[in-house]
Amino acid sequence: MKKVEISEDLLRVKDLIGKPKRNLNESTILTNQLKDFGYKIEEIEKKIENRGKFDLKRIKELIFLLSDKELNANEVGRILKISRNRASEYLLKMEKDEILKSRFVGKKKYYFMKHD
Amino acid sequence: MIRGILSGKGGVGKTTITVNLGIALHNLGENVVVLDGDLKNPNLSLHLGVFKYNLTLQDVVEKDISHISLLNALYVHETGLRFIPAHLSLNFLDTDASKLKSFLENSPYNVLIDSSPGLGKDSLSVLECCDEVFVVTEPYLPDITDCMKTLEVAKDRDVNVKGIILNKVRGKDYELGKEEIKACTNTNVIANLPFEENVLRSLKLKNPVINYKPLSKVSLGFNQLAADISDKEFVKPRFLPLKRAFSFIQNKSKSAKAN
Repeated sequence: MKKVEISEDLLRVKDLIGKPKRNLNESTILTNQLKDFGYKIEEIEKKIENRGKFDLKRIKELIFLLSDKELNANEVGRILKISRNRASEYLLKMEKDEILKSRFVGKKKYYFMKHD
Repeated sequence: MIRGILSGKGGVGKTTITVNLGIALHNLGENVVVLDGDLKNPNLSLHLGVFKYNLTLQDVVEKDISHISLLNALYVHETGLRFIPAHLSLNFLDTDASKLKSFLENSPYNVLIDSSPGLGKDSLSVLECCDEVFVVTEPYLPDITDCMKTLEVAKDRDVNVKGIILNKVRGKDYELGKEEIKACTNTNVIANLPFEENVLRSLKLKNPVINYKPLSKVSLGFNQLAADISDKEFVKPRFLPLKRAFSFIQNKSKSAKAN
């Protein structure tokens, strides 16, 4: 495949833009907090195969959020400021990967952490 | 499904794309509603040729009355496109866009939001509402720079970025190429829409270009994009040059009769 040449200006600009700071800091803080709670983050990371469009930072946020309470996709979306559909995608993925468990209360599905 | 049309820079063609893409999706049978998410400088309604409404997006969001939903501010354009306009008045400068999310939850429609440009509070609020976003840019360094920033913020906020829409492409050597942009941003360029005067004319006529010149290259580009987004196949009309020539002669004779 032909290698695409990127102009020097574009590369310089890309370098100057960098990454949003919030992401790095929050992710590290989250990991440390979860470790304090006794979660084995490395094991959880291993469980989530084919992460694809799923962000690890968001997964950690969900673990943090659901560590002491049960929430449905609507509530998770509101707290994490993501759409309900997106929250639902995450919750289903984490349930499939056996990180979360769920139960129905009426029509609503509530998720909580699976403690081994 | 909530889709957002975002851009780092103003004037790249977000509203034009939102309106025309909305119509193209509607024509493909999608249950789509276009919403003007640029609450400070809305101009979606100008593209559709209607300036005054009984109820607008700001009315619904500001009044926050439980029995008034966004559906009360929903209008239907002659093309069949359903849209929710925002008011042009300066009285609505303080409307809080972050309230928008709660109104869009459980929407029965596929919503296409025309965001405000840049990374201000309003556009970030729109970003938070979206399941997936498209970032519009022109093929020049300042535009791509702002586009990259928008992409980084969207990815950081875990919004699914569907791709970059490259707009007003003239095919000149001073423009940045599609492949170069793709390689630099690590994001797919999902549409390459050409610059066309038809778009400017359609704006003057207050008739979206997809309706005004359905056979133009840019209109076909919108149809192709809509088909890609909704996983449908777009069949290019046959004998395009002939059809274009016929339509050109028809328009000429119409304008001659009018004179």
